[in-house]
Amino acid sequence: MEQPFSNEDLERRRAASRRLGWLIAAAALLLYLAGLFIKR
Amino acid sequence: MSSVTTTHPVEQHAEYHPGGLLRWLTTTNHKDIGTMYMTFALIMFFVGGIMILAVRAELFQPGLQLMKPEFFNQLIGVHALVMIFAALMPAATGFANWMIPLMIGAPDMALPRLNNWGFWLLPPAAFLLTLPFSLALLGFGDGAIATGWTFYAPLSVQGGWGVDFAILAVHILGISSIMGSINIIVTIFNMRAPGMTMMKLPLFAWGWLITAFLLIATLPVLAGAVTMLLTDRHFGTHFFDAAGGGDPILFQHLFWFFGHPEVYILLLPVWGLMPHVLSTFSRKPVYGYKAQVYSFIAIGILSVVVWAHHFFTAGMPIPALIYFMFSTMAISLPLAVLFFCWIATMWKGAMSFETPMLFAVGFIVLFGIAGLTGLILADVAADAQYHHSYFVVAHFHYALFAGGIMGVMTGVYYWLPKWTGHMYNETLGKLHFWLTVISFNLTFIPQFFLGLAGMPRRIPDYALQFAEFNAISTIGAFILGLSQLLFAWNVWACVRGGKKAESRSWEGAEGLEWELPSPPPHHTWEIQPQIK
Amino acid sequence: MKTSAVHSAPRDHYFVPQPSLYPVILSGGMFLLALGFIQSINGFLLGRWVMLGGFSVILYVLFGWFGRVINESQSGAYRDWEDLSFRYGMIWFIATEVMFFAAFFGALFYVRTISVPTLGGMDAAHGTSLWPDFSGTWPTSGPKGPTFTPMGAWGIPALNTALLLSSGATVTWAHWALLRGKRVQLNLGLAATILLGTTFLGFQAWEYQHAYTELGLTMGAGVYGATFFMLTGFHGFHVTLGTIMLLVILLRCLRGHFSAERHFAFEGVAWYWHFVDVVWLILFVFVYWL
Repeated sequence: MEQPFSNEDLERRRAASRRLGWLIAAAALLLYLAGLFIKR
Repeated sequence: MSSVTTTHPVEQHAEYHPGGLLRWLTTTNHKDIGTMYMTFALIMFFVGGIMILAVRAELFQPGLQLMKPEFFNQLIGVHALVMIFAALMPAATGFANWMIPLMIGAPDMALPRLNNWGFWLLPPAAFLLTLPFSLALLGFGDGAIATGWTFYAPLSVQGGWGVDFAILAVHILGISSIMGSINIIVTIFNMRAPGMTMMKLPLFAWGWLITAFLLIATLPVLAGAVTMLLTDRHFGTHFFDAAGGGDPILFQHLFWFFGHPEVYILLLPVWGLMPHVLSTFSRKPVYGYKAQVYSFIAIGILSVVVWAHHFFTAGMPIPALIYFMFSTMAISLPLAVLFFCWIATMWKGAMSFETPMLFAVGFIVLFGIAGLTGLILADVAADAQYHHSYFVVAHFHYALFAGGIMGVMTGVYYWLPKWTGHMYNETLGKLHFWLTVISFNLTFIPQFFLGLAGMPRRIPDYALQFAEFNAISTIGAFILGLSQLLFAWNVWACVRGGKKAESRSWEGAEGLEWELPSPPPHHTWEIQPQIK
Repeated sequence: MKTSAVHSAPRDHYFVPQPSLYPVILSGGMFLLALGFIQSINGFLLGRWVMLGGFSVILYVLFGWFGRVINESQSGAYRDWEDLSFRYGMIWFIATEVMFFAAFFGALFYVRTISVPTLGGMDAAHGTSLWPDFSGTWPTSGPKGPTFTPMGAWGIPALNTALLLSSGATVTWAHWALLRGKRVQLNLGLAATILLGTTFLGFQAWEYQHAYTELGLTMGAGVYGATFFMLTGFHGFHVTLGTIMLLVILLRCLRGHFSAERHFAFEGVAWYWHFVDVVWLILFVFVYWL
């Protein structure tokens, strides 16, 4: 199969998925920390 | 090749190739049988869908507009039985038939004639299940089973002959699933290419192997339970009757001993195919192969020891409640491992979002909601509030539609180029995905709120304060139903033609199945590959 | 997950049978049987004829399908690879049967340890009961069930235990003979097994007759009657099937089928027979004895 994406494009996508991963992890951590301060 | 066949007394290449309908009736080829399973599943998916759209139409507004409560009850029960036994399970078995021999380098399924029988039991069983509807129109009997898919005694002991039809249908469907499971286990154990150890087995095959074990362990128990129901109904036994020393709750125990593993039976094949798709479109190897295998095994074992969480409110000693609560919650540990592996497979990958990948990511998010709401229901104290409410309905549709059906669609889009030799229409596929995801949430998010507000499930009429959310849910359901026509059209168009698919239909795809041409020839791996 | 293929021919051909109409005909027969059964139990007299039709179709397929398998086997189509598939298949089929019986044993244990004692203890636990006179001791037909005499363990059932256990021994004796090529002992062992199985069934029929006519022990005799007849009945049904299968194997042996190396059908049936034997032992302990 011919490669539909150029090597630069693939590299850009790798970087994007890494950034997004950290972003989601940070969001999850924030949510968890926020939960600690919610009074029940 | 010829030297191989001459040493063999029986010529085994099927030189007998009937055409037309006879080809499909008589076939012993795993690809033909897989195609039949998938086609049957797609048809029954629409049959079950039409039933539930009628239900949603009735629930659009409070009051009774379209049907009698009895007919409403029949529709919800048969909808569930059709979707579970005649759509989702056959779809997964179709995948297994098509893909497992290709993936493990086997010439066919191990027991090909049995394989054909397993499929051809399905149409008569589905016919039996739905026959009472038509018989009622002709004036015989009072319609199909009206107890919901769970057959709870004593309602099912007292019900009309629709219950008998459903019992016999379940028996035949059960035999079909057991034959399929035995075949898959034997194939995986005995037909792997030389060098393919169990720890090199593709994860899809692993997922199905555990599924098959669960079916073998639990389906006979369901068969036993409905047999007791049958004798209680017609032969004077008292299994579920306190006057004779029996107990209706015994039926719940027996049913859910099957019913809970059934959830994992529907989901494990999907969990098995997910890592293939995620790794392909992230252009990265699967993360945590062993962890996923062990999680499958752990979930398989745990799934048969947690059944009573389906009837916490039926009355149970406190220690039993606590045991079933904690063992249920324990399933979230291996499941969390799976989620972690799926996400880690994508992380740092060069991701691209073709339709299968969209469905896979959508699956992870929505199935995650199913898991989290499941934890709420697993809590005994909270469950007393939510039991038998629309919250449960929303929860298990996130598990079985977003988890099961969307998982199956992931696999269909992923493997369609391999099966048909053509690429499907990518634009249409993406449109189908977005319509499905949006309308699915439109349908079921309101049901969470309805359940929290106290609306009971399986009721054709409701109090006025539930009207808005029900209206939204019905609108969502109709969009959801209609957008599946796009799916059917896309599959049909792909079978008929389209851009030629290459052997390795996806750039990042790994595995034996991608080394075969698309579509693969009628017989594949007659000479097994050697795995290094 | 990393698999790369090097194309070579490490293993011989696997036998993939020709397309066959038998499976779909069998499904049709089962459909007719189910439909006719539903009609019969709901008062449609036509139903039994539909059942008869379905049953005939199933019989036809059994003869045809198994006949073809035997022909394939005799012509040497099956070798070690196929043989192993059959063995795995039979083992997992027996596993499903084990779970089927487990459902009924589960029901028995549930009523004996949970539902019956709970019904008997209602008054003590809650101060109220629909049936204050019900003691909740086993054996029972429940608070409103008919009176009956439970089946004793040490008459016919003990004799039946001895019969089945010795039939397990004779079938193994026949297997040894097959492995050593002693065909006369093989045929004698099988014939003895069939005889013991048939005697067992005869005794059980007599026992059922006794239960219905003299003990008042019927299907309707509460949970005792229900679990008794369902467990022994399904077991008896399996003994019947096993006996028929043994008979087929004996006929094949008399025609000179099977060799010391290649006799899966014999072993499969022998496994099935031992399974039926083990079920009986559990049954004898928990249904008749304790």
